[in-house]
Amino acid sequence: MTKHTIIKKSLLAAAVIIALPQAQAADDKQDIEHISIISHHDKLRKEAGSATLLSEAQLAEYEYDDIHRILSNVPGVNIREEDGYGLRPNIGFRGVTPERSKKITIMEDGVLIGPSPYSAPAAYYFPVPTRMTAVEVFKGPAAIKHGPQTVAGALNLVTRQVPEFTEGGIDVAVGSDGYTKAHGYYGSVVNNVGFLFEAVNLQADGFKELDGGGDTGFEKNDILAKFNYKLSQGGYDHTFGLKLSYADELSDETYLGLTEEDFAQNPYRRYAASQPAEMDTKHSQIMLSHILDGNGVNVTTRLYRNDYERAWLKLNGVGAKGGASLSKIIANPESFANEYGVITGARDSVVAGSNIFLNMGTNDREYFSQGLQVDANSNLTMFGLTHDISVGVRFHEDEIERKHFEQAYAMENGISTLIEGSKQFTSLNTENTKAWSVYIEDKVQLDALTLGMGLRGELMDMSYQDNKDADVWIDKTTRIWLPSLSGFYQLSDDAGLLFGVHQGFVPSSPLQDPDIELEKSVNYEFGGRFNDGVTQFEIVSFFNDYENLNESCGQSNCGVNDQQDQQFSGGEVDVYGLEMQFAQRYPLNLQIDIPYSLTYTYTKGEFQNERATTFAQWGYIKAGDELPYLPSHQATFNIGLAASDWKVNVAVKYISEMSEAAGRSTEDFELVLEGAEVPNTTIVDISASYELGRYGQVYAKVDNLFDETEIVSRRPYGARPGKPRQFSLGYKYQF
Amino acid sequence: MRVSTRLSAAAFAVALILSGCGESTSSSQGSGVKDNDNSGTDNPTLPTQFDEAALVANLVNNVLTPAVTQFNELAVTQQLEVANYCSGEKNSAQNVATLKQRAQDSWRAAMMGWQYVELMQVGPLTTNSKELKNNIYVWPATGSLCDIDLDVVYFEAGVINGNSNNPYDITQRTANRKGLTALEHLLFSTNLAHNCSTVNDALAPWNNRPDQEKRVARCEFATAVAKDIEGHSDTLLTQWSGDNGYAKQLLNAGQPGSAFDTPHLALNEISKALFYMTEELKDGKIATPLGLGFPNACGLEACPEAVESPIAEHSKKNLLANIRAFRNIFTGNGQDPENTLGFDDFLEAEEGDEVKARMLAGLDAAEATLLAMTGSLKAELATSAEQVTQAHSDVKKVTDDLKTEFIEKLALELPKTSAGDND
Repeated sequence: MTKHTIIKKSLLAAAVIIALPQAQAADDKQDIEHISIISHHDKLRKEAGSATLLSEAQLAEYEYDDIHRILSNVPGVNIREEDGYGLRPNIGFRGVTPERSKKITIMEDGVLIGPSPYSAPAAYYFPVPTRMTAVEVFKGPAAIKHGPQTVAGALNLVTRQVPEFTEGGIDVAVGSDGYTKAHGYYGSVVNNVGFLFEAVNLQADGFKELDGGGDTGFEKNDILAKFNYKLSQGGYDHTFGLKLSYADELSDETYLGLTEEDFAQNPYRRYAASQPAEMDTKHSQIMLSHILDGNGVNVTTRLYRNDYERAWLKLNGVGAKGGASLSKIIANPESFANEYGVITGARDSVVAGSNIFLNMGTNDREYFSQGLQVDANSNLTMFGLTHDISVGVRFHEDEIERKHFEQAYAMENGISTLIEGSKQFTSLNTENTKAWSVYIEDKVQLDALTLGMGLRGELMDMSYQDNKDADVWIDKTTRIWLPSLSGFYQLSDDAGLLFGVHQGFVPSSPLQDPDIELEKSVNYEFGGRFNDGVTQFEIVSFFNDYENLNESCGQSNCGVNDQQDQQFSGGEVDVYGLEMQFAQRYPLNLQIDIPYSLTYTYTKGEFQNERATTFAQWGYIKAGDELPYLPSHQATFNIGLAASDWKVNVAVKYISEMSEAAGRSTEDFELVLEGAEVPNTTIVDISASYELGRYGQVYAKVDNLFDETEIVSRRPYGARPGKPRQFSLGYKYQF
Repeated sequence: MRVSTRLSAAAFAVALILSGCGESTSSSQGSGVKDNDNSGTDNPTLPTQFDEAALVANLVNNVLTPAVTQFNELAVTQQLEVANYCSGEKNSAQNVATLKQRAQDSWRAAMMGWQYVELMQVGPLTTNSKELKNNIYVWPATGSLCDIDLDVVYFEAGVINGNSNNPYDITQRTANRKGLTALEHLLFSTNLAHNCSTVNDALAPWNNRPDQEKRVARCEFATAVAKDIEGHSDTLLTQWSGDNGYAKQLLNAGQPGSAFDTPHLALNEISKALFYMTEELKDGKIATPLGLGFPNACGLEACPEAVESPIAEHSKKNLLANIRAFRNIFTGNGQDPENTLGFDDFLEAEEGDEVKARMLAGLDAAEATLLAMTGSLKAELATSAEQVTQAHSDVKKVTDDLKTEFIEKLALELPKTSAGDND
């Protein structure tokens, strides 16, 4: 079967699904949708690279809606909190910047899901974790199959599969700060056409107290529809799939934080200048898929299209253009008393001798991301050796169109009001990437050793066009090959050693100067794994050797308007560390088990050279300076009591302090947060559930039980708190 | 198995398209793309035959240094005249009106002198977020008259808001409470009442005090402010003209010990100062009081009160000084009439005669428009916005060329602050 034939068959399948609901029954033995990548069994996993799976049962334990909280159970994940709800996650693996998760590859059902993964990888869209049935994390050589970002790893979110039989469920919850959740799904098979409908609504009034009144929360809607049709022909099983999804969000979010003094008085205060702030997003996806399975061969073809639009109205600055940045004003409120007064609403914009207006920017952007990818794997024997071969090819195109504008607002009597007619466009441009990528991985079985050799190639045609000036454009083509080598040596049925080395890479966006050296690293890992069905233990050390570390400036990580979209090079950087997972169940008696687990990560990231940068997180760096927002120690300890009809779980999460800036100021550059640290935090979450037999299940949980109120970040504009203690009570019913 | 083999072949076929090993990047770009990267490669693309070192030398010796020196002299004079006036005010001298007039004239002269320096913001005037510059003249940031009124009484009492643990030290006060802006209010405001909507204990008695006391309190603070300006001006002069001052760094560009690897980089730094003409002058000083896309106290309409120096009504002269300073740097005309090596000559050498002519014509037009106004900018706006709008158009012609052909012809960098402006 040629590639063209597969595509034609996929398209034909979609037509069949829609037009012929009475089609013949297929062999229903195959239930694989090939949307999850890690094997879901309880035995010793033999994947060579570091990979972690969070199953549906694990996700259900705490009913988290926040991916940050979910990933605290995965070692090697570094996170920067922002809004407390995890609306716009900042996730990094093994020391890469967590900023908008732009250096990890994010997928849903194995398909790139970021708004524009090549052209603008900052993941402003992130799928609602509430409706996911598994979360998979790949690091090390395991990530080579999932580009484009391969320096750190990949995150795959797995949606609910179309059921084999009729099933459905509802999950409703209410909680403090106006939190509500309504989640339901229903799926069945009618005339061999399987379908699934799922919808989630999440909302909260917000936990911050806005000067002048108003909500600080959000409302999110997420709708998913899936269809499949299965048939067998010529010894092969075919599954044709259609996936449609829609998501929107309206949130009263801002980048504005608090001064240290105000945070100490009330960490949940929000200044009057953020009253108009609002994020408005819409996302839609359509995906056609075809899975061919049989005779030891599996081929999955996906044709996908994602559209995303967002407009975020938020405070960009205050006072005259070219004046002090917001981050500087918030860090030094005494020196900028008038600007600070206008931000808090204590002072009017217009007073005798002085006008200080608020500059509210709306970063209005439209994205699309589309492509066709084919992944295949097969087991075969060559030269007397067993080979597990995976190959894949993908053509992907994505684009971001920026239509940013700013408007002036006047503060009067503590209320921020738009000055009509003050709209001015700022950034108007388009970035586009067309990328071919291929990979091949061959896992050869050599007695107890499974040796994996892989190669990934990327060919990217990128273009940038300034939409204000036709003469401002850049076209560039980048090719890169990324090899990997990995191995798993089985010591016994329960234990093995793993090692790996691979080349990591992060594409630079079309706008960036082609002369800037690309970010590349050579990543090594070595560790061991044990699983005897009772105890699971994995320990992995890693060393990521960056030839050149690049960072780019967005509003959220820099807070300096002049530096927007600029890229900075940090030169050589070493990141190394240790990741450990341990899980066990202790039977207290015949009725009650005590499950417990520990996840621990040690990470160190250091610059290896001296360099004068003007990046707002680095400044002037010297060899030995540590990467910002990278805690040395992170640990999560889970312990519970589980009976047949009830269970209680407690999670204790510790994150050590993190620096907010790596280097120092110079005469020419002031590093605003030089020496500042995010303090260490210990957060305790508790959850409990009780089975009502055929009437469902009730559950209750308290996030942040001890109401920890430490600063989680001072970027971009002042200190911001994590989520305070939140109670919630829910009911689930499944059939 | 056959399917897998064929797919593998397909994957390898695509792999072959990705020819070569490792990594490679090729690119092309439009003529409008500026070198704005952070990789440290600031050298011009094509080497020039023009003697850039000579140009830097003339601009430093003949235009920039004289402006800094002149302001220092004006700051000294200002301090003396303000102190004289205050002495007369305290002694109720008969010629106090004359003394006040002289103090005001000294402020006008100092402000004119400073407006030349405003166009020359390089080196010590830009370091530490323009701290030194702001201490002399904080504009375009603004404080409020109320803040200055408060500092009058704090200075008088020697402590801040009655707190004996917090003695008044003008060097520690924020820039928006002192400098030339504060001096304008102290010397020119005829309304002796304070400007605060709410008052603290320190200011509460103010409005009921005798006018003479108020005048003395204001002039005493004015004397301290003028002294503070003089001190900062001395610092500027030292940092500029000292043994290892910034002027020497510019002059020695390309030589060991200089902060500039090449004269071109030094020239690039000086050229960045010219961009004051865009945001500060065109947008801040003209478009804002016009309400032309930038809000002012009246909203988005012409607003006489929103001009730069509204109390002394000195805005037009400020603009004229800015434009003349721009022209001096552009043409190299300064203290020594024998040497007029300027950017205009560099443009000629780089086949930029047309843009040179356009920019000079734009400067002439802007100056002529301003000179044609009979009254102050504030008065002009109060009657008609027409001439002020014309001045905006004239200046915009110059800045349009500055941001495009000027820097392209001379292989200079667009300052980051101008990269995303609203034109």
